[in-house]
Amino acid sequence: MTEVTAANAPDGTPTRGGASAVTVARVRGRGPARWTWGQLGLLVVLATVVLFTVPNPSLAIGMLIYGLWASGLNLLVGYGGLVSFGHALPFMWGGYAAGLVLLNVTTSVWLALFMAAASMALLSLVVGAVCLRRTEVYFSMLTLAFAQLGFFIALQWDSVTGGDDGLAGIPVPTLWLPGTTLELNSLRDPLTFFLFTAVVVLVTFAALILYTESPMGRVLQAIRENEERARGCGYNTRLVQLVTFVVAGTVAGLAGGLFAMLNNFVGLQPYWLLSGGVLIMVILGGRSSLFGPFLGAVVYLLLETTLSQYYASWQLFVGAIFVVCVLAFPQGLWGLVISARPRRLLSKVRRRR
Amino acid sequence: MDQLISQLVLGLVSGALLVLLALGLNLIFGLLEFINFSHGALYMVGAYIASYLAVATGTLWLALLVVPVVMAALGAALERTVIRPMYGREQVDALLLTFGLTYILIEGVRMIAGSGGRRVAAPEILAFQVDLGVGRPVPAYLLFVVVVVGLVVGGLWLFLQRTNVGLIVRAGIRDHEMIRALGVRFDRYRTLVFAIGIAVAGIAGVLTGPITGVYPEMGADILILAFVVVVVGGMGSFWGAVVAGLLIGVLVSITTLYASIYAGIVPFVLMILVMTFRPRGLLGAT
Repeated sequence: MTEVTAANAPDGTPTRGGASAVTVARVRGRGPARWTWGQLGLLVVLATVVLFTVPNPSLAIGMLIYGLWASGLNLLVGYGGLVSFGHALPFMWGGYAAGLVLLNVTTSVWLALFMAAASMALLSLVVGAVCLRRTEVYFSMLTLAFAQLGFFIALQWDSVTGGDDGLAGIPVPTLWLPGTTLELNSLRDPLTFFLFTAVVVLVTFAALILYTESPMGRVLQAIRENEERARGCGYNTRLVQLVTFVVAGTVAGLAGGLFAMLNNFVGLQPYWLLSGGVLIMVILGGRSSLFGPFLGAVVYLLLETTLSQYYASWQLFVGAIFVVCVLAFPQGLWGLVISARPRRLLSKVRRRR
Repeated sequence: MDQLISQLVLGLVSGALLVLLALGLNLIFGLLEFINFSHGALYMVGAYIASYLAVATGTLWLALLVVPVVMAALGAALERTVIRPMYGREQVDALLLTFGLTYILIEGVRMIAGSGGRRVAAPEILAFQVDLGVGRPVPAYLLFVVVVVGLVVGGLWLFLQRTNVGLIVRAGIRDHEMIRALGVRFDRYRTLVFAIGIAVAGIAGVLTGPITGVYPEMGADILILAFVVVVVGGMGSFWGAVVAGLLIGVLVSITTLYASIYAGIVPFVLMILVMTFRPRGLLGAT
């Protein structure tokens, strides 16, 4: 009996009903068990640190946006065991969606972000329906292929996307709030932009935590551990994975929309490289939580800006970091921090006695 | 009509090169059970080594012999050092690891050889045109590429079907635990198969040089196409990869002729169709 309580205790959430399979996963110690709502607090702390320490406002805002993007991807990678190599697709296309709304329809932030998220939800539904016909490496290759398809479409359809030159001249968005109207100009007033982004990111992050803690999120983790068993329990495993794919795509679309507003521009770069970049953030930060990838994104961008100042071939270091991460500490930075918590060490010492 | 014939030949050549990459990926996936993301980057490394050898010796012939050996050694070394710890872990970990390797290889080549591409001259003996009877004359080098690819594919097939080592490899693809239980030193075969896959990718790199030149990113685009070939042909299917590779090569080049803006999209549309109506691939078993 003590074994079971010990497994549930660090999390604090009681496991009920459909979550029994997950309990097994947690006992095995691979599941993202610790720090559920505490992650939100950690994120607030991290955002505050970024706000006060990163001198370049555009980089600070970019950290929040990439962090959200990476956290959303980790729903698939860490929680679902589905490694998507095409997560640049909803990010970039979400940017196009937001940019096109701002250019052609209205400068409303809300509508632009809504369109970015909603259109990428729809796109992810279609893409996911095909990609999830196979899992594991097939899934990775299919998502990669879809991203490549999207890249070619963005390249060729230059009347809409601007092709190689990118979608330029996106107007400064306006934020309508009850009572006031604000201009979200990332150049002239980066603080307002940062705070707005932080609020959107925090709310979305909370929604992601809610999803992982929901019965469906629990089943998702159960599928990662043992798909056949989850299916045997009567769950529609494909549906759960598809919903997760749509959620991750929606979050990426939202992040992409924010990124387009930040730069007033959507550029074109190889999607496989971009998808790989966000995957590196996830692996670097750690797959076992939502906060880990966020931390990974912040550290990655910090490394990238620092290294690229000194070395032309900074990507060599990125690759090396990636290889070392996968080889030596697959639990990632946050996983290292968590497993090095003093209390845990203490409990290990006690157990030895 | 003339244009169609020359486009067909071009498609056949690019398809044949795809086949070489896809076969290596397929073989590695079959026995080592992971997708080698660094396959394209290693193909690029092979092409670069060939381009330097061609300059040093004045001809591509030596490169065609030396590069497969060098690449096989490099492949074996990589397998022994960084890939071996991945066995027994989740499949995606090896995929991620080789993705990191790709970064290192591409950036490493950029550091040594620069970001710009290099031209490679075709062997002088092959610097003539062949009249096929229909259409315009075709550069002999292109036909030479098709012949070499045919020989490599045939050789691989014979190796897998007719030799004892090939027999063990095929058995290992079916059930490697059983093979181990029978006392076969399985890890050696994994090293061997990885080395062979990389050597074949190296040959593809050597052959590509005179056609498109070599540049650091040359592996990325063709790798993604090779993934598509593997999926369309059917994972683990030898002839599936051959058929799908040639099919995609020809389809792309014909689309380039008639509707060039769709040429980049065609392979992916084909793949989506195959995944929708025949998820196991054209010739895939399961």
